[in-house]
Amino acid sequence: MEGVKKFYEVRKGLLSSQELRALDDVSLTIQRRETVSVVGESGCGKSTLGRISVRLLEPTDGRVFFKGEDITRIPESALRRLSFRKKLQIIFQDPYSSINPFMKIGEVLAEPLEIHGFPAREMKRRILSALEDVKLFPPEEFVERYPHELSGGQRQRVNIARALILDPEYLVADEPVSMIDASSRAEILLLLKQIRDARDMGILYITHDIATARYVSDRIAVMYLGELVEIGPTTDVLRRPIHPYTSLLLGSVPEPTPYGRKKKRVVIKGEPPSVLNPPTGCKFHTRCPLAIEKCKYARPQLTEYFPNHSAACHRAEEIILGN
Amino acid sequence: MFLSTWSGRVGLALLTILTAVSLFTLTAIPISEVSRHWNDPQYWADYPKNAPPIWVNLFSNRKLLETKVLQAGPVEITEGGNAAELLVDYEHDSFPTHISLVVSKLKYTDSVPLIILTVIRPDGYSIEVAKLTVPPPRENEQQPYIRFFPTPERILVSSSDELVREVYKLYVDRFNTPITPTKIKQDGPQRYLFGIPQNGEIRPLKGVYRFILAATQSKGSLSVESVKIILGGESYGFMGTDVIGRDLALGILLGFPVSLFIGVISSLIVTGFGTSLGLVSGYLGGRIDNLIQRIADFINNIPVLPLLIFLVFTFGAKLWIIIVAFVVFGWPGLTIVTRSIVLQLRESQFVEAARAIGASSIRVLAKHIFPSIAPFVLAQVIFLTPSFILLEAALSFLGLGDPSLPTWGQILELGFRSAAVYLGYWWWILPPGILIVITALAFVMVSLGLEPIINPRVRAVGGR
Amino acid sequence: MTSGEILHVEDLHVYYSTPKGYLKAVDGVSFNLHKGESLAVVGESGSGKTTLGLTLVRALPKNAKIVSGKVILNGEDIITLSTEEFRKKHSWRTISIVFQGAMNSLNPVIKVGDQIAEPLTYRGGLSKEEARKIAEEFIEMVGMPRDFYNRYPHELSGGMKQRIVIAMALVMKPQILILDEPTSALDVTIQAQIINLVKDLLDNLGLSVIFITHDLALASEIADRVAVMYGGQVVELGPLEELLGETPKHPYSEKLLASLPRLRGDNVPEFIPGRPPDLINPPTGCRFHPRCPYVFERCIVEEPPLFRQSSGHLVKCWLRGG
Repeated sequence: MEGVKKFYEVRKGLLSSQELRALDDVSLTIQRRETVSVVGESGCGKSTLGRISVRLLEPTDGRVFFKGEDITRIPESALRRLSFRKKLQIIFQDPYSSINPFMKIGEVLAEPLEIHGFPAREMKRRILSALEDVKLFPPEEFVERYPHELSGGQRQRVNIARALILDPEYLVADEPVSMIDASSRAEILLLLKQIRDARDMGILYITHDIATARYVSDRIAVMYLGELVEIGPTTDVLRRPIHPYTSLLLGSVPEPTPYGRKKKRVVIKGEPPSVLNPPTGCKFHTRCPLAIEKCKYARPQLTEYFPNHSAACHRAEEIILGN
Repeated sequence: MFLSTWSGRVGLALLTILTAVSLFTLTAIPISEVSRHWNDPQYWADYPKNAPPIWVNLFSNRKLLETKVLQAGPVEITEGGNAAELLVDYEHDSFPTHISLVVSKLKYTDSVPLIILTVIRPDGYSIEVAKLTVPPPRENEQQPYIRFFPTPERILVSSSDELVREVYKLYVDRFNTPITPTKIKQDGPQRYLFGIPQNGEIRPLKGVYRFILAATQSKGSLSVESVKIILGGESYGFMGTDVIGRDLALGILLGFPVSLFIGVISSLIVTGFGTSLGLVSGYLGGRIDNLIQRIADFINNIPVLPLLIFLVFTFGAKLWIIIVAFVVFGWPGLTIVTRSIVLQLRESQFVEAARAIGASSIRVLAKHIFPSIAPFVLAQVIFLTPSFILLEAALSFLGLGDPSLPTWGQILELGFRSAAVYLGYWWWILPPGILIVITALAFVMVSLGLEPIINPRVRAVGGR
Repeated sequence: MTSGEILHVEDLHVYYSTPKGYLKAVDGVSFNLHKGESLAVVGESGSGKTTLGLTLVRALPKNAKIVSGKVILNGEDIITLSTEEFRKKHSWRTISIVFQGAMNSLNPVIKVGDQIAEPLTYRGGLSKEEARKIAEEFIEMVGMPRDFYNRYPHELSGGMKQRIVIAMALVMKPQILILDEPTSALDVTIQAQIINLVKDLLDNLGLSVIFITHDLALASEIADRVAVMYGGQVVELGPLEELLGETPKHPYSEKLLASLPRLRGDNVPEFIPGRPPDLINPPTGCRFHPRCPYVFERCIVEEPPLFRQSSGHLVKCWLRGG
């Protein structure tokens, strides 16, 4: 299977006086027909990673490869010319602010086609078929509507339609359902799955909600403070997490259980450290229940412990044996 | 929705009135002609000076004399004789402030005529009021000889020494009044012309006065297009006159379109320029942004008034200079505000989405960012207009304005300069002042009314 | 009012006046709250749950009107009081609320400790030193070091700010605390911390809590009883075990449960087709009928009452009675 996307990033500094390491040496590969979820809490850098992978941002260091080609530093005009913009797309989190409120849905969907020079007849065909793909029926009616006339779930589907209309091969979905009512989420997630299968795409699914990640992804990558701490097939990571952060993250997720009121969860102590002043060594050591002396000064490397399942922790082996 | 606020409604109503008056002014009054003559005292010579409006008579017991214009013509005389007879039925309690004779377009053939104006009083006495000499033919001039064209010939009868002498003769010979020519001249001979001694003072003589215009010409014919006799009153017109005698009603009416024009044009240019720079500055960022912002800061810190004084001093006070100054000093404010809005919008997700699908910067600016700021821009234009109207008025008032323009500020300026306030010439000071305020208010109210649209507070009402 | 019952809401109707008509945000809600109990009010956007919370503390916006109903707090119907009277008597003292997004409404230029102490001096008439001591106690109670009194909001993380806001709401020792989506802006690990905190407070202070949320899983962590709201009405009300167990429920609750993606278990999350009801012109009969998989004729025509199930909980559905 050909690798669709691979990146290897060292740093994405954002401030000039103080260095803000949004991403610190993150490498990730996404295959065709695969959905990889990047899970983490606010400040872990997952959104930055997503944007770098579609070249909305440029990494300070490191490279991004698309189908073997290095697209890290290509200027914007070349990106457009070489059709990379068509092939790499992104869906944003907020269905309310990611669509221009002054444009009709038809215009919103026509815009990418206009930019890339599709002839008028083909544009119309593509717009209608894109609306059908995201199950907004009847498409002719939706073309005329304005965003404020649609529900959150419908708008998100328009976002998806807009991303798909150029037939991309790689899609980043940045928290696509976190602002949608629970009862409509599954619909969007199901849609993402169907799309991926129908179009042979690779999807990067960014979220803070592991439960939804479980549903859509083949592999899960867990990030903490700009670093990749664990990555592996979904079922493996969820059933046998290696990194302590992963375990605690899983433990924090509320589950509908009748006994919830009585039990108290084991929670991570303390607050996430400042991204401007991250801890030394393993960044999680300040909150890790299993931290030892070594964790304070040595940064653990991502090591593969099971087929395709890696984690970055000094005590990984102990943990695995202990389970 | 715009009309839902009472402020918006009132403002819109006022604006409509202002625009209607301006349109009326533009169509009904020959603006260019009046503008040209606005600063020509000659043009206004026939009008009373510092005269209150006519309708003041409605409120006071003592009726002020209105300016009367007696007009006749065209007339033709052959070989001498009476050219015209003008009557006035004088019923007032006061005397005219002056008497003028205006003759326009006189044509004659052969010998040079002499025009004499006589008045026959109600009590039967006749007095020669004025003699008008017509210029003789020039060398090589062809007949018929045309005189007093295009500028009519004006004689301020009431200041002529001949009239003083005639009046003196009448009063001494016929009325036995102890009086001196000096006194007559001091008081103005027209008082005595229209008066009669009674109980030791001169009272107005009521009755019909006949003004007869006669011509003596030994040979040939003579025709006059129009003859006017103006009895200067103490009041004139709708809004009175100023020290030069200018009909303030005209001046104020002209002020409508002129003020609106200055305000709207300046506002449009400043807004257009300022927001464009703000768009560029905010969206492109980097060095261009820095450059524009530094220039804006610099300009903001320049003291406007001293510089304006200097400019006026050097180049003279002209309208276009003033507008240029407005634009140059006005754009930074707009740029800075637009820029901050654009900065915010630039980070919004739909802009990001547009970039993600490959939109060029221009496209993003035009299709995505501009529509979001368009309501703001519109509001700014409306909001800035009164500022410029006020600014122009202030500048005129300080003497920095363009005096050739009949604007309200100019009227006020002359008023203050001529001590109109102290002399109590309220009709001169109050209307322009009030109108400036009302105009500014109209615009402000409209922008207040627009505010709910510009600031859509998207609150989820209910449902949560 | 039965013993131990401190809040009784009866047939509450709260409407907003909008240009398009009356928006019936709360349209016939009844429930009660007992001492030391936590009640979760679960609903999605447009269900009326926030309006309900605001009504209980008489903090509704100007265009909202309490059309009818009773809210009996400690034997007194607080609807009959004017907002001023309510404010003096009950607000902060008997019942208090942590609004949605409250942590972002902290005054940035005042120390957080002072902000907690403010109601004590302003309302409680205590001296500054006394107030400070109590404020520090509460800061400790919500799990932070006492010297955080002197911190400013921008120096605190989201989770810390939320703790401060909770301390503020508790400082006058109210009997009832309403929390409106207290964790929606927080990371899941911090959320777990806050939930643990609330549980501690429930146990240690004998507090009664109304927990408003859209997240049914979260509600189940903390609730003794759950009220499910849909379209401005309570469609199901009962103990948590009943709601999550095998007993028949309201179809909406059923679907809501089914839509939750789970970490464990094999279910595929379902979704509910359609959109939340228009509260200005709600559907006839049962408001859920346009989206209900079990709809039949009566549902369209007649609005069902709350039927008491054999298990003791109430379900507003024709399938469960009548």
